[in-house]
Amino acid sequence: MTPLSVIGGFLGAGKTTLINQLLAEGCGRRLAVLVNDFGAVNIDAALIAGHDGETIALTNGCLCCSIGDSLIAALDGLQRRRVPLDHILVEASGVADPARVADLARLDPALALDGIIVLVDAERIRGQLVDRHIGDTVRRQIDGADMIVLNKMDLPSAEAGRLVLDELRRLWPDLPLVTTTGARVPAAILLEPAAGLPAPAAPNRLSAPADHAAQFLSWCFEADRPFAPQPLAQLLDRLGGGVLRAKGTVFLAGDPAQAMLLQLAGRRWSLAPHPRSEPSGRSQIVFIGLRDSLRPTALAARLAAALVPRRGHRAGAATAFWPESGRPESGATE
Amino acid sequence: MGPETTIFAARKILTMDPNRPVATHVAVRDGRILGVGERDQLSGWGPHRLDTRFADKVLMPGLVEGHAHVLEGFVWQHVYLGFYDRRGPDGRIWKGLKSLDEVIARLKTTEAALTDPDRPLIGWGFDPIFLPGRRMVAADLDRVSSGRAVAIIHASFHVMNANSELLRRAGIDASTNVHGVVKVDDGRPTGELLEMAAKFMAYRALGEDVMAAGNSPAVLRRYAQVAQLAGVTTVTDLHSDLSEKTVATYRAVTAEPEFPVRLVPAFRGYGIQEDGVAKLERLRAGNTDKLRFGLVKLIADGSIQGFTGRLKWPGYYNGRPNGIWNIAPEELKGILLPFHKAGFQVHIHVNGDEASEVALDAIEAVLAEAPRRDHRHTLQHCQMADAAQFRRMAALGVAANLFSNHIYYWGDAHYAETMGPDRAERMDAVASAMRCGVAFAIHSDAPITPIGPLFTAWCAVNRLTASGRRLGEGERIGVADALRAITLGAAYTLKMDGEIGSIETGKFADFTVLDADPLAVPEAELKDIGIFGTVLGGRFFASPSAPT
Repeated sequence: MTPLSVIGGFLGAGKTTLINQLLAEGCGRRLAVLVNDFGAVNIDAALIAGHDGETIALTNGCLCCSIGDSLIAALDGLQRRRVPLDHILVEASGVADPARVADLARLDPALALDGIIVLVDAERIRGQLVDRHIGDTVRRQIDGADMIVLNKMDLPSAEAGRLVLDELRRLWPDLPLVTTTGARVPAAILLEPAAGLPAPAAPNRLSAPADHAAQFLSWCFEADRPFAPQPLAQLLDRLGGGVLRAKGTVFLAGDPAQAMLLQLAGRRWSLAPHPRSEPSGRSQIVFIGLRDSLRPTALAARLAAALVPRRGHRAGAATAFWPESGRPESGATE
Repeated sequence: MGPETTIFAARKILTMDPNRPVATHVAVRDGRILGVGERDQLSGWGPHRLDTRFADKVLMPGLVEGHAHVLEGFVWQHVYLGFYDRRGPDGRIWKGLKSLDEVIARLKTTEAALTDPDRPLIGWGFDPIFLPGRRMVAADLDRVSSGRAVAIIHASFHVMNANSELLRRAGIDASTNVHGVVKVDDGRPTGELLEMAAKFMAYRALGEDVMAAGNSPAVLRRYAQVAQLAGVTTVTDLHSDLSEKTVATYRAVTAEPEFPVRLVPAFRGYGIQEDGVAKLERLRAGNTDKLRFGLVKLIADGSIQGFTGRLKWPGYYNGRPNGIWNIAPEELKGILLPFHKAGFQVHIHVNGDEASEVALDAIEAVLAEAPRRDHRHTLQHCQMADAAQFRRMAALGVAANLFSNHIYYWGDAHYAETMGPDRAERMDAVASAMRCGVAFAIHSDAPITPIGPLFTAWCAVNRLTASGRRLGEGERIGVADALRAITLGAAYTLKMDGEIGSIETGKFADFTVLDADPLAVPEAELKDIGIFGTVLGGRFFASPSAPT
């Protein structure tokens, strides 16, 4: 199954800018991007490996395809190319409901919905939300999001920027939110982490532009006891605390021999049998979140509380580190 | 020897020309009308051949369908399952199916004739709104075939039904958790799919996107056939990507002497990767008598019966949330402007009154920046425009092409669900458009409803719903006005009123040959008048029922 993400947001929120950056800078993945307006995609000629009308192949392994008349046909065409892909990113049109676009990934057994990321224009959003023609469209787009990227934060004054943040947090209190400028968001936040689990003791540097790396924190939780399914589900439903992404191998009570793959993008998460089963019995989850609100110690305690309470298990251990410094912070979970 | 002249004699000729509203003879030379009048008034043009095959018939200007789609020619590859009788491209009347059992029976008959076991069976035109009782489920279609994929596309094109085999092939089961996959209480899909899920399944069954179906020569010929049988001589294809392949097909097929209509495609003017103005200018330079490029189509909102049209306050009668934009309101002006400046005519799909308002705002803004006389930008469907919007349209020089067939097909649903009684009564307000001085046409939007301008005229005149309710007495118009709407009125919205739409000297010799005089039959029978055939550029195309 190929993971598929949807980038939504109203006209002018920065979707094309974000996509241009992903394509230009690469993201360590063979990424296919489906865009509405081919003309707006600005790819350096030196990066273009081939161009066949509806598709541009890049030297970094990425593809950029035009959606044209039909997204379904464009996706089908992409799948028929039978090129190995790590991830598909679909750009929803400026007026589309990205959740409906994401339905395609839920319908097609060959695809797995990774997440719906909705970009918001910090300067215009407050006016858009109350606009008589498009207010409901913009609200619907954010309603369906797994994560908000509040873009263009350099444009409003500090005071206006605060008001925007307050307004979005009041309207969508459970929706993880990243602020940025120039639509710059690390690929590790936008897309399912590409590689497997990092070595727990090594710093997990986000492939983020230096000016944004400081905004994010990566942290790994490990435990030898299995999770109790219900408490884990409840915890993941209300994770909060600035967690934007999580991925890992999880063992559940009841079937401790079956490794489960946990994926989390904003408020969306899934647990499915791990394609490469590793019956180690050791759960490992990497979290990526906002540095100013992710509290590893508190989160570790909540995660530990979702483990099966049984004697004789070794304590889980958590390791946290700040990407720019690599300074680890370790703590026992119980 | 001079040019060949034919004089057609008819029982009556309705010319739509106020100078000579009625005549008995029309002279034709080189595919054009040489003169209209009595025979002796025309004989001064010299030697001629008198053609009396229409001697007991009534001639009208060739009917113009200002809003339909080539998709009509595509769907007839598959079996028709609608509630109403519908005439196929071969002239055969497919009886409307009045129960689920009748639908299954027709599918079984069709299935039995299929030889390739891997070929999916596809039906179209199904509309459960008219079938009381339970909804169709996968088990119903499993009775048709358990091994073959069966897909039923609803009349709206936004809903479909699948059998178990198709669900299995598409990988849709109880674990599929998607908006649009209708399920029973235990989580199993019923086989009914909505919106994106419907599009996805239809694509899986057809192997192509039904709404972007390829315009093969066969599809285009079938489309022209259906139009011709309905008495149409000029037909639009009102939303096309005009890809090189499509254009090549259009050029080749319309050039065939036996191709029975003039085709007017509209270019989808947004989301395009090329310079739309340059492309249209290039295409227009190659226009022929039977193929006319130059229209641009934009789609602003969705449909009212699908609750996707954009409505002003108080919105949908049943409380459904407001519809969707297909183009952001703020984008509209920017998309319009280059086409407007280059002298092209833009047709904008607007169903709800919020969409028509936004479209008028955009046109007004464009005109303020680039004043232009006689642009004839046209609001298509324009189903909810009120008198104030029609006054704006008149002031801005905007034409309207109203969806009168909706009164019949969805009038009851508009009354009960979408609009409520009072707003339903002023939908497709043809009389208001007339009172406000808006140039207007009326249309079918085939294949959404069947192509048939006389039926559309009947809808505008009678305003009767399928259940027989009179919807909006105050918006009825007279037969003469309705006939004008399906000839000169539609021709005006295509900027072809100098060439078609009336029987006047110099225009194309395009006629619709009727068995009865539409001005003489009772209003209620307007839709039942037999169509004997059509004449295109002086050449007769018989209906299958008529002797050639």
